[in-house]
Amino acid sequence: MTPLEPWEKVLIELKGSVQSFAGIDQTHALIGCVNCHGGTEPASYINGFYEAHDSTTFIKDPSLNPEQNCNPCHAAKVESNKNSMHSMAWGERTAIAQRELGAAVDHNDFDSCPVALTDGFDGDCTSCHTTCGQCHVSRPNSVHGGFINSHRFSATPDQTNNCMACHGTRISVDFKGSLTGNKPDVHYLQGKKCWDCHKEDMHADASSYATRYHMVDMDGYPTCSGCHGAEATSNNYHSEHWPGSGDGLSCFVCHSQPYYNCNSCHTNGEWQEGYAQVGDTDVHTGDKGYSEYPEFRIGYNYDMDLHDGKWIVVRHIPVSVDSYEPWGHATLAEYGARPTWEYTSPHNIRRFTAQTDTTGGASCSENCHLEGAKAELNRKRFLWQSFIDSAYTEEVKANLPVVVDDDLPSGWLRY
Amino acid sequence: MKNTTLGISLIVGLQMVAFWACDPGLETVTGSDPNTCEGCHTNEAALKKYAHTETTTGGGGG
Repeated sequence: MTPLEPWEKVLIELKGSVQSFAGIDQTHALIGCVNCHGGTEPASYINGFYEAHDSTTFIKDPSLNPEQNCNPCHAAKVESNKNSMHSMAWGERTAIAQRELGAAVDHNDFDSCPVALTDGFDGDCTSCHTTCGQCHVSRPNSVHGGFINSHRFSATPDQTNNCMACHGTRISVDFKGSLTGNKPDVHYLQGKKCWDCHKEDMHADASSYATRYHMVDMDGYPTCSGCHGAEATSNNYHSEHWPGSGDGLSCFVCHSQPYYNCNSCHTNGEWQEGYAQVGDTDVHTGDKGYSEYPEFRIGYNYDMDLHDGKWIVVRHIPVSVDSYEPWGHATLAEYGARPTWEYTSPHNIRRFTAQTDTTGGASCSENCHLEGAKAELNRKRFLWQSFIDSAYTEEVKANLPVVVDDDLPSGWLRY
Repeated sequence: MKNTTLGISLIVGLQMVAFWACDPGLETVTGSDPNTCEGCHTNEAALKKYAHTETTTGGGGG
């Protein structure tokens, strides 16, 4: 997303009969600028800009302190949002804790991690995860900010300028079909917005959930079966493969297209620019092993308590054993405790994909099963031990639970 | 002759007013005090003159 020009970011545009900010957002205009932003008003003519934005009193993002600036009217949301998934990034805390302390821990144990990790997390990760204003007033910091609608407060965030500004590489690119050879997600083509599926309360206290995928019991949490449950027996393929507990295929195995995977991330700023670009090529590389590339891999469901299906789609997570070295933490003590090819739910859903294409009357099993004429071609769709051994040498232990080698039907080709 | 001189004077005067009003250095806005927050932030020309520094660190998009 191209950043706005500095002046564009702070322009309150008066159009038509609108003569003041009160005509844009009457309610918040009553509060007055300086009551939230501080600064000096009126400023003198000579030193106007500098005086108005005096660094000792000016507050760029008042919602960094929501208790003071948002609470008077939005007390309940402010209170619960302190522990929301967006504010606290519980899933990331779980991931870091497990890779440092072991697979048995979760986000509740994050504070037991070495201080270099907890401090680094507070400095880097929480800078994105996020403030009220970065969803309801401005573009988020991740894309350099800027008013979306002349500083109008919007109860529903803007899909492009808010949601996809942060959820870019792994959602926006997928949803719009931006990767070469991909088509847009069928829900996108139908005009669905993020919140048409994500009806869960984004401000809800999520401190009891280790990751976003654990939020399945929360009201409004999106699931495929929530809309498509009646299709469980709508055709032979569904009847045979519908995902159950430890059985069948995740919906994404058949209905998702290739999606971005990343190597190397995420600390010390090297990721901050040139990230999530889609240009002449879909593969981007950079310093310190940074790489962004399309891939589609079927893996073994390593957490059947959490995800339905015996087979899932997995995405490479950009964490290496020394990812947090810039924070002063040389290596993750339990790096192998958690897969680096993790369960994923790509937002690039189509009825007919490379897996389900039945052109000419073929069975879609021909595009997936490791037997028959296309068996050799189909091997590239699976996550093999040999693939990890050759391309991800430090990640062998981490991905033992995910590779497919030992669990495929007998008689199928192996690597 | 008198009418022509008056006409030219009026045209020049109006041009000067227009130039004066459009000079962003004067931070002129319609119906608002340019030294207030709103007066400045609704003035595109003034913002183009003053708001030229990048202050937000970007990054992310996962």
